[in-house]
Amino acid sequence: MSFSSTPGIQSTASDVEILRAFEPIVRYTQGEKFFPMDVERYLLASSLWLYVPDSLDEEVVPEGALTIEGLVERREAPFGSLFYLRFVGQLDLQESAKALAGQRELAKRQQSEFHAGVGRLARGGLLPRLIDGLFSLSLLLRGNVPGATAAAAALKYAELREQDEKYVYQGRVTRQSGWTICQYWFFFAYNPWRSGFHGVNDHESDWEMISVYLFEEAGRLVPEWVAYASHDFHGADLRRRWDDHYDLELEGQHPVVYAGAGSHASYFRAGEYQAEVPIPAPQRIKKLAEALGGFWRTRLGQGDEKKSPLRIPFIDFARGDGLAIGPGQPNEWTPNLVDETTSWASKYRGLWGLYAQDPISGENAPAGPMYERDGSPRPSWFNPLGFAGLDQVPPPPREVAVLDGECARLETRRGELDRLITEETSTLQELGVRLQSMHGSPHLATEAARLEAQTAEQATKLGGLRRERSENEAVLEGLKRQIERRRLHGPGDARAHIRNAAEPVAASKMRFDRAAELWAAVSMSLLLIGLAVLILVAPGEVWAAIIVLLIAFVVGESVLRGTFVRTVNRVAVILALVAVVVLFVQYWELTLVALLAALAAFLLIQRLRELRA
Amino acid sequence: MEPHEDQSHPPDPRPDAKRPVAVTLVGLLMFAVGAYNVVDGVVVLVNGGDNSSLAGGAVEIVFGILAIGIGNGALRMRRWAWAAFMTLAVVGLTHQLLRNFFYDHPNYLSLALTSLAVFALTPLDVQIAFGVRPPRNVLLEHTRNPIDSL
Repeated sequence: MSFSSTPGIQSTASDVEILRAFEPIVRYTQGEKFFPMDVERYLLASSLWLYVPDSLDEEVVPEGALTIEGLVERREAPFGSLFYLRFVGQLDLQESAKALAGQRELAKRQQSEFHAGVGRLARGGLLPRLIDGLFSLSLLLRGNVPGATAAAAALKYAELREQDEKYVYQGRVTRQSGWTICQYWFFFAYNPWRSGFHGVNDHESDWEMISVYLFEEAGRLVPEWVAYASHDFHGADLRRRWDDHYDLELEGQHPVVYAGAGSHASYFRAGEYQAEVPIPAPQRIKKLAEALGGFWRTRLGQGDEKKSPLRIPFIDFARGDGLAIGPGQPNEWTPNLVDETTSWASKYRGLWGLYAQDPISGENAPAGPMYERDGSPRPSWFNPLGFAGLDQVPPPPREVAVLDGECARLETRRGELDRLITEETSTLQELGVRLQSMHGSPHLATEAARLEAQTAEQATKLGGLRRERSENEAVLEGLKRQIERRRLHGPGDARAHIRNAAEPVAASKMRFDRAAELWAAVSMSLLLIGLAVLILVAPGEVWAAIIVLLIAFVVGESVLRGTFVRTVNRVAVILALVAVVVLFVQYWELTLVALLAALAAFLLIQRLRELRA
Repeated sequence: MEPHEDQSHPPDPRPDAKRPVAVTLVGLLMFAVGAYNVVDGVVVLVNGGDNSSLAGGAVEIVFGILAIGIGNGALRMRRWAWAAFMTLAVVGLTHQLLRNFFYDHPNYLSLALTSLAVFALTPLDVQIAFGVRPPRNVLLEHTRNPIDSL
């Protein structure tokens, strides 16, 4: 790794030069089949469709005839309709089988097969595996991308890649609030996270983005921050400072990105990340789950981590052991400039792949870089600073000036407040004296009441001014401390802004032995078979047997996963809670009597103590 | 994802572990239950009877000795005693709840005492005192944010 002695680039450089100066090195995972490509070739290999509710989808432009001009052509469509592209057409059974066989051959030919490794199944407990199974089943009911589509897309993309092997990013340079922002948009023909890497979803096309934030100093643009789009995180948690060597890997001036296999999400470090996908649930159920979780954690002393039960854990493999693209790598980038005048970005608001009609959108293709799926503007495009929580951060050369300006403003206000407080105190004292002089004069009762209200109002006003002065003083002190810190120690802690950071899962938590893995693979099926056998063999005692079987499975699993102590406590607490309910139902009168007697005794002791005092 | 059981537990028993009052009560209760079972088992064996009642008496003695052992371990704040008690509690509570819901004659006193003991031994401080969980400052290492653990 080498670091340039003069970081940055001349501020007079062209947008392409600026983009090239900081373009990232992206390392993919072994087994990845799709890489960033140009939109033109994708369009030529796709067809354009129109979805209209309650009618058959209509092919607007067939495959091979679609160009950028054809894509952005203005077309009338009814409310509720949606334009979308299809990279892979409808496959019949024979074509599907051919695609799946072809994919296997392709993987062998490319010598790029993905192995999840021992422990993938055992990473989630019994409940997450059950939810995972139900989630997979839900795909039968929800709209989804058909099974062989991923294989057909891989073959089609491989063919395009063989014809002209190039790796493209759509680069955008924009300037906001003193920052120069380089956005690198990566377009993929397909997102095979579910079908290829045991992830959450598959969808045609995929857009990912990273941003580099530069500031201008002495005629040069200097990099200060870099932000990667990632699962679970948003705002300031997405960005790292250029000198954050804990997370950010640089090769010269080029940040290194580790891309999630299939998902293409961007990570700062190589590893396997646990991504959590929220289960769509009504707000009331979410609140109830949160309340129960709080009771479980705090009142019952269970768990030290706040985890919502309404989330499905998945692994995102960002190993970085596959193809690497970027400066100094065997494969270099081809940049394509993009901005608001780029027609395919600004004039096409449809989806860039199949609209699978999935109500929770996981299997629907995304829209372009400027828009969300519903056609509304995408925040990362129109507000790139807010996207990384930088809209409140001035560029470094302006930081001291901003701090000084704020200090000056507060000092001026302090002077004003001092004057106002003196004036208002004097007024209040006058009112107080006048009010006091009215006491004992019944004929002034009305005037005294009016004056009393006025005095109260004046006191409130004065209290507000004093509070503002006190608060301003504290803020001023903080600002001065910050100026001093900056003067003595430079920009300060590079990681102070981070509240939640994606951390690769530690190997000790990731790897389980083969027995646990085998158990994880067969346990759900065994449990279901056991239930079926119980229903057949002991129909009279099926419920009791199911409870014993479930407890035995949970405790047995915990032994294999090395979580026996914690699990047995959880099971005991749940059983004890049920026992409390049973006891209350059985002895509610006695319980009530005992509670009343205890309350009476408590109150009696309290009062007697008061008497003695 | 379930975290692996923490491998960095302090030695058992922890030198600075102070025994909470609830633990003393649970320990004494286990002693009492164990003594009752041993005596009752011995009485059954001495009186004789069919094979089933003799086996019942033997099981009662074994259970009684186990309970005395756990009570002794609980008073000495042994980690294994906590785990053994919870395991027994799961078995006992399951047994009594199944009797309540599906069969006859649940022992409500046993249900109440076991539930109370579970709640008494569950609070985080008690678990930390037993060495079942790492001390509070170590818990921070489980968060996903590296700056939290600074």
